[in-house]
Amino acid sequence: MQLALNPGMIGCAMGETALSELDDIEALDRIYRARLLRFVAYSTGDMDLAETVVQDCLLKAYNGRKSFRGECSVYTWLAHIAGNLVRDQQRTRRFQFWRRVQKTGPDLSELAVLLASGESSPESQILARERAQEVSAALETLSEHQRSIFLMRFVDEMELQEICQATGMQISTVKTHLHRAVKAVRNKLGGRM
Amino acid sequence: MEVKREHLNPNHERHLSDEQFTELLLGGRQTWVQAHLQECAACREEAERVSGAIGDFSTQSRLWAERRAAARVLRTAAQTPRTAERESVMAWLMRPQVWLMRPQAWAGAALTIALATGIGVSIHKEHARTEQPAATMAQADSTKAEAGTTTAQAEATIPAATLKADNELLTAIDGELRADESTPASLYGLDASTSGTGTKAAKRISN
Repeated sequence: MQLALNPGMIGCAMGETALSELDDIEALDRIYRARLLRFVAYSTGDMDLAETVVQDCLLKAYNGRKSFRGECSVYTWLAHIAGNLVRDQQRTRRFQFWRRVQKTGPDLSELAVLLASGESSPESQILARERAQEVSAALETLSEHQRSIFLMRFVDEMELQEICQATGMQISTVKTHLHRAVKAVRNKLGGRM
Repeated sequence: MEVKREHLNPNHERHLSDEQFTELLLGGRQTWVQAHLQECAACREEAERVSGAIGDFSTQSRLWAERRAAARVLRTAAQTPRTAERESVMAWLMRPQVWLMRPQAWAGAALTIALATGIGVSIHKEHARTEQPAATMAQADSTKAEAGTTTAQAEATIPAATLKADNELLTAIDGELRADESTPASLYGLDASTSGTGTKAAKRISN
């Protein structure tokens, strides 16, 4: 006998999994910290601040887990919380001041040894690092929304619908931000515009 | 294959527009775009370069974040034993102590406190006696005056014969003590009668 898959059952199971994840703050930390850290670090351009924001984000998610309705993935929900926290931080004048004074953004050059597999040559590793740094530099020229949406789509590989849920924007707005962000990155990479 | 007219590039010789390029990066797989990329080397190269750069950035940033998160886990793990130790002590302090319910424990505790108090008091008294003789002597003078009045009061109640006998006894004891009195100077042979050089010093000491 073949069991028919009931979409409702799948949704329920996914919801239960999400709830069990949210009930265990250590599991939340283990599963999502690195991903959130990457998103927040490149959104703010401040590595130390990113650690604090991620910590706050996980704590807020854990404390407010009852309000999670299971309508989106846990990561989408976390990205929503992290995005709000990043915006709160960026609004403060103190952050803006320190961003001008001291830049502690992620240093991709420190990853030179980790970058490529053993198959790639040193030349291609250097080339890849330079291209990544160009993208990183291009991100700094983007607006807050453009940068967040670019990271969600191309780094976190979130679907457009998930980005809409995480940002609370219409899909047309998300696409517009993405389009401008891609244009800026292409420009930085020396593309024909 | 039918191609929708609105998706056609007005001039097939022209390159992909910005919007079309973004759609391509977002994963759009329109047939005519694929056909254009096969024909146009410039668009193909740019698409490969931009998507490759974004891919490199994604990989590097992921590695960076994973390393950063792993470093934090290691830091936390290094701190955990100390934290666990502290927590275990706190847990022990917080839990109900069964031994406190036993009467033997309370009896033992009371005995310990009594002994400690007794020892403490005796040490304190000894300390006060040895460390503050001058103060004691000064107090003694003032006490003498008080004692005079006290003695006068006591003499009124005690028979005269008994007082006389007690005074004689005390005088005899005092005389014996004075006769036996030896100073450090006399112990070391520095008495005035035996030494000429240390006379003054010996006298000072004996006085």
